[in-house]
Amino acid sequence: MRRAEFVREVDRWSKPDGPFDAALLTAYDDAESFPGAACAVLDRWGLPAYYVPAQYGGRLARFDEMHALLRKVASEDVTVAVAHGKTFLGAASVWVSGDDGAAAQLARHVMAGEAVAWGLTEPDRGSDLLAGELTATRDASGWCLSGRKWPVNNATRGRFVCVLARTDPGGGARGFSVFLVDKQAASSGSVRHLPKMPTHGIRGADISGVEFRDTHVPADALIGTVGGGLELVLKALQLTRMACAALSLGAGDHALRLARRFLSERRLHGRPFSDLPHARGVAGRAVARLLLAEAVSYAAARAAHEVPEELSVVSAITKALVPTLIQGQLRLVGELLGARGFLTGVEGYGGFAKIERDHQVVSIFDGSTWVNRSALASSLPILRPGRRPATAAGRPVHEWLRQDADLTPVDPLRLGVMARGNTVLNSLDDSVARLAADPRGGADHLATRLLDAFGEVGGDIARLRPVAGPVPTATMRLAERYEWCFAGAAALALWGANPKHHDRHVWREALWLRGCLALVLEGLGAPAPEATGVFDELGRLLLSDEGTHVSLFGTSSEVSA
Amino acid sequence: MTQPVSGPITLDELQSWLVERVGEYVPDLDEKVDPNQELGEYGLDSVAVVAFAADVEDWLGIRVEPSAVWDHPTVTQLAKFLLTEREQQAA
Repeated sequence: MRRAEFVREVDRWSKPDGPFDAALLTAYDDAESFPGAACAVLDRWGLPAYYVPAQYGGRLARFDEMHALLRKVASEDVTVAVAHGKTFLGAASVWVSGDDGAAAQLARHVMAGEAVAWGLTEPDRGSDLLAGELTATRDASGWCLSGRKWPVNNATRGRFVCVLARTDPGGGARGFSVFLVDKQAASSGSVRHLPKMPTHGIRGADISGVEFRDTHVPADALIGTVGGGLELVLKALQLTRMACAALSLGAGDHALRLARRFLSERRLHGRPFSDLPHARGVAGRAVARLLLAEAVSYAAARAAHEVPEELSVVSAITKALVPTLIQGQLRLVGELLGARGFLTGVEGYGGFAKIERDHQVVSIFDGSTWVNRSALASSLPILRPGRRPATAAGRPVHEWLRQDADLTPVDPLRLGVMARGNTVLNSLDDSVARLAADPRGGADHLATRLLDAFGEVGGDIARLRPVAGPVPTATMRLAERYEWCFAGAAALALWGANPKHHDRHVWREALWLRGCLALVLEGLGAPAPEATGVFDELGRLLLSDEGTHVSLFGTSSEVSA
Repeated sequence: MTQPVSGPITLDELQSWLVERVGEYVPDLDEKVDPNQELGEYGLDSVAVVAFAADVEDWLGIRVEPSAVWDHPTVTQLAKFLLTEREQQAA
């Protein structure tokens, strides 16, 4: 219910002179200044409560709901979503630690609107978590922090910063611990802010740094155990990577709005531009990419509730694939808009360049596509078909992917660093069989092709021998094929789980499913020639009355939470 | 793939099996694997140990978290830990 209300509010704020007025946000972007007014109305509405798990008094009971809210913000402005949503990222390590005292305390601050930053990266250390040099050493009544974190989102504006610090000079997997630092409580002069970095995207965001100079923090600033930092951060990343996917989806929504408007307004040689089959095909591909990204994110959000043990793999796939899908979607929309997308003075369309710039950053933070794909690649040997399932069979996928399904409450203690199975992907056989029993629009043929392709991927995984050190290129490519298979399996499982929707617009004749499977098969290097017409159909859909909000489950406002 | 072991196993057997596995993960290593050297020094970093832990699981038929390798970073330490763990998980 509040979700529908939120959508209406954001739409209202986006009107001229509102805090989300595109002209205003563009001006902030040009001036590289923080979109404070937009963040303030989100605070007043109570969005921060959705960053706090229900068990600590917040409203975060379902990830799909929280992601829908972030997606809505991002569909107006990615920078605002990054600037505000960052607090969830900063706090996630505390939520997954199971440290109820620390979590309850932080919950109160977050709900009061305090921003929390997440300090992982350090100057010149890249994305290697274990390369950090910021140290924490015990002192008489707690810990003493010394070193820098940079670049960090909200490092300056956030009252709290959650840092990964070296607690064993020798480092290693047990040499790091997480600390939650209240900058307000630190003695004056011991915390210095490093200046905001000019960036190509999310220019208004507070991308700066923080330096601790023998900063004393109390003993209870330690989150979890001494030496437990890596594990904690790896688990927190599983949750935050899925939230990043919501930002991508929002960027995709925004781009599709521009594409729709352009196609309906633009005329070429006296005829509507949308009469050109090429234009429709490009638009249709952009639609398919968004819907496939949505299917993956939707399945992942629910997997967090039902199979959290598998989230290390599911979240890596999501973070590698979703931003990549949307980046490709933005390229397609850019192709359609042509020069208009980059002329800042053209009303409406000028915003396109900003979406593309802002979104590029989403692909990078919380682990780039490469980082996530290598993590997946290292886990592939464990995921080979036929390896004994180590987790007991839980609820079937087709049950928990049903739109109105009740979800198992999130249990952070079930998160792990090694997934022993992949329930969504393993449901592929079953989903294909269900579709064969009730074939629609020819989607069953595409599904069978996917099953064959997955068989080949499985064979390649079985032959894989893990090696230490950097992941070989061939293994990275195999991981990418595995991601496509997962995406196809997620789409098919969603189809099978929601027969009630089969006669609704984008579901009719399995339109969205065919579009998604066609993309997946292309990604797997096994394109289905008979499927190319589906992009034209999706292009027409975008131009129809139903094209105003392209989404598997309708506009967020139609969905009552 | 490794065949799962059934029945009792000695510390020595466990240790030499682990040494062999480490050798497989580092095919271009031109020295013998030292059971007292940390696995990380052979390039089995915090990410690579995930697959390594799974190999151990398959062979011993018990649950092994990658963090076990973090906590027992040498072959000698890991073998001791796994032996106890196997007895406990069998019980």
